[in-house]
Amino acid sequence: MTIMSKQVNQVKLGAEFIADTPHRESNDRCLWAARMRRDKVAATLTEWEEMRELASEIKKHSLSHLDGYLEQLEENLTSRGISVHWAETAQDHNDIVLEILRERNVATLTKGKSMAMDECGLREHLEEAGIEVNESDLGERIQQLDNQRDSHIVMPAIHKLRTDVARIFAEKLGSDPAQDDPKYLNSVMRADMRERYVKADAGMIGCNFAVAETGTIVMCSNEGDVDICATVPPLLIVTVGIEKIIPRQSDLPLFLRLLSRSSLGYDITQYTSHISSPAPGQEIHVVLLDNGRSHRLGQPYHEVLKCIRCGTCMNTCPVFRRTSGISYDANYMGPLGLAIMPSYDLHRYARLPFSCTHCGSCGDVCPVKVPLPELIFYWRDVVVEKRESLFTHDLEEGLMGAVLKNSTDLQRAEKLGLWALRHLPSAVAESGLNPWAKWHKNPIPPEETFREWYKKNASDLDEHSDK
Amino acid sequence: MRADMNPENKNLTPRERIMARVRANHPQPTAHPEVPIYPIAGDTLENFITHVKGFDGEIINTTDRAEALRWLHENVSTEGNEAVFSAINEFEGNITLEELPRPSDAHRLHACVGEGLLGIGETGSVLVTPDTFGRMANGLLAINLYLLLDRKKIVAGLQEAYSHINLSETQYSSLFSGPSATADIEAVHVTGAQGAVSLTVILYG
Repeated sequence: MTIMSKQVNQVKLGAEFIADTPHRESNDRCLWAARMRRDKVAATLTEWEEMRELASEIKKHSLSHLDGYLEQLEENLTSRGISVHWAETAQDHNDIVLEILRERNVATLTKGKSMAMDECGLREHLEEAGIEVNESDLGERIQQLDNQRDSHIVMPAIHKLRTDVARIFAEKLGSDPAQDDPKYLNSVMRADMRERYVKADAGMIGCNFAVAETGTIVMCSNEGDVDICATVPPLLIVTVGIEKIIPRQSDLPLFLRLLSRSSLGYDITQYTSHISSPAPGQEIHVVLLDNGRSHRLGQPYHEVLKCIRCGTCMNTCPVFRRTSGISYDANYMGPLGLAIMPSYDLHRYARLPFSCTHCGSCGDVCPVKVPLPELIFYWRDVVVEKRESLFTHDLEEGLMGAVLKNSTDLQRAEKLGLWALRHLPSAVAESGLNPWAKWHKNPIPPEETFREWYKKNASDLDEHSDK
Repeated sequence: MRADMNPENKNLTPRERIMARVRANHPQPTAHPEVPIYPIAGDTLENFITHVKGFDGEIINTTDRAEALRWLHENVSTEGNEAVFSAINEFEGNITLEELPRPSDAHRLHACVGEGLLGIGETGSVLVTPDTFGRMANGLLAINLYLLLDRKKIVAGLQEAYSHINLSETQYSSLFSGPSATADIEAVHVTGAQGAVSLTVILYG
């Protein structure tokens, strides 16, 4: 018997976050500030849109020649003394990592932020096996200590207030609970992690890009923790999703110019680092992770594999900013989550593609032009077709399918809508059947539909535009 | 279908199965586009200084290498109890690599002095390698970093910088752009996260 996983109800979880005004306002403010900075720095580069297009094309090329680039990467890594492992599934990945650690009697390790490792549930797997895992990124560490998922792929604890962090650090790290200044909290983290770096038997990190031509792992970070994990312990394990490959070294600066500017609105991250071989006395293992990626490659939604994990689609999304990443209860959240999580578990994440206002902003800001709005619509169709949808989703899809089928039906629907707006009593039009009306009054009905108005005025408008 | 191309063949290794699936599922092949070298607006040196300061780094302007070294001698004390490691011949620290047998011992360092290989005007980054610091951990765990940099080695942009770097022949390299920082708590920017708390670039030449 198959046990069905429980569907994530993002609307309910999001409503809980919305009701918490201080957290909602802080989350929205922080993310929107990042989006504004992104716009400002992007506007300083006249080539910005051309770079997005080129980055998209390079990713498409890379994905369409992935076998050759994977072989090239593997050959270059192994020729310089890096061990390469292939993990088909999350379980395989975790087993490979655990075996490497056990063979070397690793008791404690430090781990940089990695969405691919999180996707595999690696930390939990290692902790169950008795290995002490210390997340080294501040936001990730906060979430680890609070036993909560990340709420953002770049800023994992951005939904929290400083008072939350002060409480968690006081409970778990023994800091002063009355002090919630971020500078103080950062100093607590720094002091605590320094001790852990010194005693770590191994370091683990993810990867932003893997350059096939040179066999290089590229990491972009701000805190310095990723580099410390990568260079201080004698053993390093790197998890690389197979879609992270870029063909050439000359491609790298293009992606670097886009990544940090899109992510947080800065020209570059504080540390942009490249590993091509082990240091003297160091051992490096790279685990190439599939976990469904090779299957996704052949699916209509394969362009989601172009994603470089900058998080800008989350920063711009009006739903995400108000409801926080926690409400998606998923490894990948926000618009990216809507476009990829159903491919991991269609039943569990069937409602996510409906948590979208169709504003299209995610697609407009994506630095590698992942067609997120189209992919979200794609998944809505799949959810309805596979009967994983709610009744309201079926109704919505069915009605919209009928209305949008041809222009005559659309014209009739417009007239019907106008009639309803004029004649339905507010008790019906603004009832619970219309969630829009919970926060808004219906508009004052116009005299005619836009189409009717346009027909009457088109000749005047043409005349005006000629002048 | 050949057996070695069937991703469901249980006799294959995980690598072979992944590769078989990748080959079976490749999207329509597309060409690799050439990326033009985009010009960087403004004066390269001014851009560099602005960006280093923007990332909370400090700039010391000196005329030549002798003056740069004089600045180091006058401002980085090796007399006290605080450990100072130097990878520069003309400036002697008060601790050696032999006294830091493990990379993690670098957590004792109050300061580390080295020479940057390249600067980038577009981002205020300085290219460093393990040799810059004697060992990479020294440049990551020391509290204060001092990097000498020849002005003639500052290039306009990232694209130009990568044309000077050979990643395949460099064990480890990094672009340091200011000291470490975080904004993970309410997006409040804090300088001095887990790596260096301060980074001073001493320009000469």
